[in-house]
Amino acid sequence: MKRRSLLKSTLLPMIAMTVLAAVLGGCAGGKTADSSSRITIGIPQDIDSLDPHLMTAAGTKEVMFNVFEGLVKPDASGDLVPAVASEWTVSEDAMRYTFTLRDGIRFHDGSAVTVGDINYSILRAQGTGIVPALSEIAVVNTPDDKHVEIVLNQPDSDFLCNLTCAVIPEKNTSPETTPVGTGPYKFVSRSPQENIIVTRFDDYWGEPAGIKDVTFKIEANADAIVMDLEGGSVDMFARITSAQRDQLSDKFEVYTGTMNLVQALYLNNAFGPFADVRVRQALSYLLDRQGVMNFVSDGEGAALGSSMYPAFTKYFLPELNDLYPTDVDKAKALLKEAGYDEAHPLEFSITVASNYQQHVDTAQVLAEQFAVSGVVKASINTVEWNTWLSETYKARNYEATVVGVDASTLSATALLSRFQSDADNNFVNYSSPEYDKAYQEAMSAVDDAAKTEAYKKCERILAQDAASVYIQDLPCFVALNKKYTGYQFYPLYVQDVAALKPAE
Amino acid sequence: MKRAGRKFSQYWRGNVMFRVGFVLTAVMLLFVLIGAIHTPYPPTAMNEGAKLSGFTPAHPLGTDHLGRDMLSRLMTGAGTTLLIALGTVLIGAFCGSVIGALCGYFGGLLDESLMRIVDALFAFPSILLALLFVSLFGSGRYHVIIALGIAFIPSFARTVRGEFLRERGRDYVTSARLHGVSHLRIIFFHILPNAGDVLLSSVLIGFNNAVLAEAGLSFLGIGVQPPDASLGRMLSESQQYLFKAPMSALLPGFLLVWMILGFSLAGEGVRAGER
Amino acid sequence: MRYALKKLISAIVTLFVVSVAVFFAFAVIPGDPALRKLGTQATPEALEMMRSRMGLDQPLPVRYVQWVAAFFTGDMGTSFSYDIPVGTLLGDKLPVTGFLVLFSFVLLVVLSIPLSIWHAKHENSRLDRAMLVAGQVIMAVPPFFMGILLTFFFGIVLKLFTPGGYVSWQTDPGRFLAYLFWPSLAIALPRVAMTVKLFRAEMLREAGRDYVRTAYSRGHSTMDVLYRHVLKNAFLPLLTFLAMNLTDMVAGSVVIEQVFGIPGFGRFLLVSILGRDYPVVEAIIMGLTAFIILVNLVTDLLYRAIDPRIEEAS
Repeated sequence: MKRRSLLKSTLLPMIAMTVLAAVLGGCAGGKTADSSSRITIGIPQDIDSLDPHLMTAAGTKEVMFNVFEGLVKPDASGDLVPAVASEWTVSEDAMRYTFTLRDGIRFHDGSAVTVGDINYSILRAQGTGIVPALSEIAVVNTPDDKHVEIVLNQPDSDFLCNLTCAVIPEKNTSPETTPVGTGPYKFVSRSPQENIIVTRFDDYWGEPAGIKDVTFKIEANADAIVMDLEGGSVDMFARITSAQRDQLSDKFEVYTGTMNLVQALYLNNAFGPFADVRVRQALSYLLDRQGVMNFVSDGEGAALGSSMYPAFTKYFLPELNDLYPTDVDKAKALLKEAGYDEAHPLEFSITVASNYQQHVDTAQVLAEQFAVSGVVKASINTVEWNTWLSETYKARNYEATVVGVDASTLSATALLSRFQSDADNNFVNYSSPEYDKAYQEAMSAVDDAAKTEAYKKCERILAQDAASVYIQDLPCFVALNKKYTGYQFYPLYVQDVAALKPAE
Repeated sequence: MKRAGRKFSQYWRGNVMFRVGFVLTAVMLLFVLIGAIHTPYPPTAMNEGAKLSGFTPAHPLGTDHLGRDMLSRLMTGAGTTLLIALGTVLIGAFCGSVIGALCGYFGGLLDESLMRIVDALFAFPSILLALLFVSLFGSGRYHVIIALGIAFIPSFARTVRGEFLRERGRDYVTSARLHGVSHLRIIFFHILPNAGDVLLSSVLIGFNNAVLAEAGLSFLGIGVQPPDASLGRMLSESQQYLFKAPMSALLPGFLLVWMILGFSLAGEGVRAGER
Repeated sequence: MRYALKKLISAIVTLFVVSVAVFFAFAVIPGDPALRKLGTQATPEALEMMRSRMGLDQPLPVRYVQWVAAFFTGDMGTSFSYDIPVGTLLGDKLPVTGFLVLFSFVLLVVLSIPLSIWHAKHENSRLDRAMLVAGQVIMAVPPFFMGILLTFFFGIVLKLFTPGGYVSWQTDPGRFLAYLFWPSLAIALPRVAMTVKLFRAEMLREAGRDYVRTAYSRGHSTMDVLYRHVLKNAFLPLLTFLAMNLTDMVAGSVVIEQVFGIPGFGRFLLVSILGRDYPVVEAIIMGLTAFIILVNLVTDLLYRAIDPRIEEAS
């Protein structure tokens, strides 16, 4: 009899617990009533650091854009606007930048921002070595408690875009865990791999945010995004794929913009066949950009002919898109000159990081397009992201790769400096004295028109040399539940949550 | 051959489970074999006009989110999954048997040290193992086979070791030793055949586990890489269109169930027939 | 006692081999944690600095010895990607995976034992046979597909829960448990089918034994015989089987966490391997290995304690 009672005494509570959970489960499903004073935004990966001077991932910066501000910050039209500084002046020789501290601006902890904090923040950011451009700063002066003067060790009329680096309070000893900034949202909590929660900063100097509580939820499983959007556990997701867009119901508004990056088949110019400009040009002639877009993103996206994307209206040269119209015969002729024909085809492999579905898809389409010539045989080698970073990007141990290169600042240098022959990050091993000269011209030009012209020259050289096979700026689809409105695209990786507001 | 035929008819007449399992498996194999020779469309060919078409005459099982024909992809995907499972079990069973046999037969220090490594391997997550191989040698089905094959060594090694522990004290072994038969000969020609039945049932169970393991890895994105299809990979992708085209989305899963059900029924039938 | 000691020593050796294997596996895998952390813009000097901060500039054996030494003082290192001590990071997530596995196990026990008894009582009835067939099919459903099916039917069609609507246990324990119900069910169901099949067969075999017939002939009721004799003897194989399931469930939770979007150990293992966050990977693998070994050890010892007939096999 003992056995029986034992069984009952353990089994019954267990059954009760199960039933209870099932009932609770049923209830929880109905609990979707949701005031629009809060929003849950899905983000594809966890943020890499809460410390603004240590964060490097674009995915982190776009989230923390809402928490931190620099002396200046970018706006939706791609201009730099005052933030912690209310105004600034640049000296004639472009070596001296003077900023005026905004009146009455406060940190999230309530303390006033001082020039000392600004000085501390800039030097701290410079010290981490993550933004190489900050090493141009020779000295930071604080002549009085309203002004900060930044002196460079060489003229740079484009330097302002680097001063978006966050201003944080000097007395905060743990920016890694309790970040404090001046942005429209203040940090509340963070749970690794789960979420980051921020709330509206009521003492914000500018327009207060439209929605009070914001949860950034980490959506580790890319395949579940549509399910989570439709199911209601996520209200917004930036950068869904076109296939995912097609799945969404009319509960969602899909905003279409571009991702602001240069997607290309980057060719390792040091790899035998690609050292020959004819081979590189032949591949460009084989490319059908619209064909790629049709397959990868439902025909949307912006064609590119050089290392520049349209959001940089000042520098972008649309005519370069037509430098190499799709022409299989021409490509074959060029390849023949270079010594490749049907009997001796050009063979190479395209390395692509498996976590970027668009790039993987693009690589597949490219291989098909190249194969049309009968002379080019491209195979695809998918690698995992970290392997790509260290083997392909850092060690430059690859033949060709499809990837998107983005700009971390609102400056053309972000997209062009890497192609100088001796640049640390020249992962395509491109080398052209002519290019180096043009780039130096741009760097030393103080006059804006001359500078712009020099940048354009750089773009033309890259295109004529077919340094890589430039494809497109990928389209960006942002799904936003119709309960909210006001989404704005930026020409940088930025999610401006403060601009969102409940729909009426 | 004759013996196999007799066994087969014995199982066939003996129980329902074997009959059902055999038919399910045979249909599956036929499906895969046809897929290996001919598919209605190339399995990776995308058709932008027909994304998630649903069941149409042109695409009897519909298309996926990139307009690829489901039937064609299921045929090759099931093939990939089967191939990986087969390779995995072959590697696991072969290496596992050798290690298990040596450990069980000789015992002592060799046994102790090898078995500790086997235990460690048993506890080592197969994800990490797979990632190791994929990172080292590039992605692709063969690396998944090697990684999973190694992950499957322990279970076979343990089974075979157990058999050898039991058998090595038997009279026929002792007498073979007295006749001067070499250790290796005893291991592989005298004892191993006696462990055959146990090994066979381990292989059948292992096969199912291998199918599951492959699907799991590919589901996590570490196994077979796109554009290759495998059932796990397809199932993972299918979550994207579970809303729009649930039937097409669930198909790879149902095929996976079919496959596992067939093997497990046939396997149980064999064991029931032995009793 | 000697046996237990021997088993314990071999468990420790196994743990040691695992730790070495994981540590050296990462030395072979390409990928640089410092580069990952600092991004593509970083200067070589910054990378070098980060590497030395992470301790990666030391030779591998030195790093291993340091790691082991620290491990014994309870310090599992600091996560590369989070700059949080691994102990704190994982301690926060332990209840997630812990509850998932526990919940699945509870479901397994709660569903399989009564069902098996019911089956044994109604042997060869029509429903018994029908349910056996259904069980056979359920057994063949991989847990992650079961997860997708549950999400589809209960989440999307019937709207009983919000897919991806995980709530952390700190925020709301009730909703946390409620959400975990579905992934737990996905893990448990196929195993329930297996357990029922095994337990039913075991009970029927016991029921066919002489002592049971004797009991019947003495006029004991069916229920009485079933509970007092059959169940008792069929319990032993069940115990081992359930323990085996427990370890499998831990391993299987990785994939289920992915299906249901749960940030538990599985997610961390996967993300940390991909992100080359070695300290986290080491800690998780050591933890899981230790758990699996422990469960096996306890089962083994229990088995012996309950049934002294078992001879020392090895």
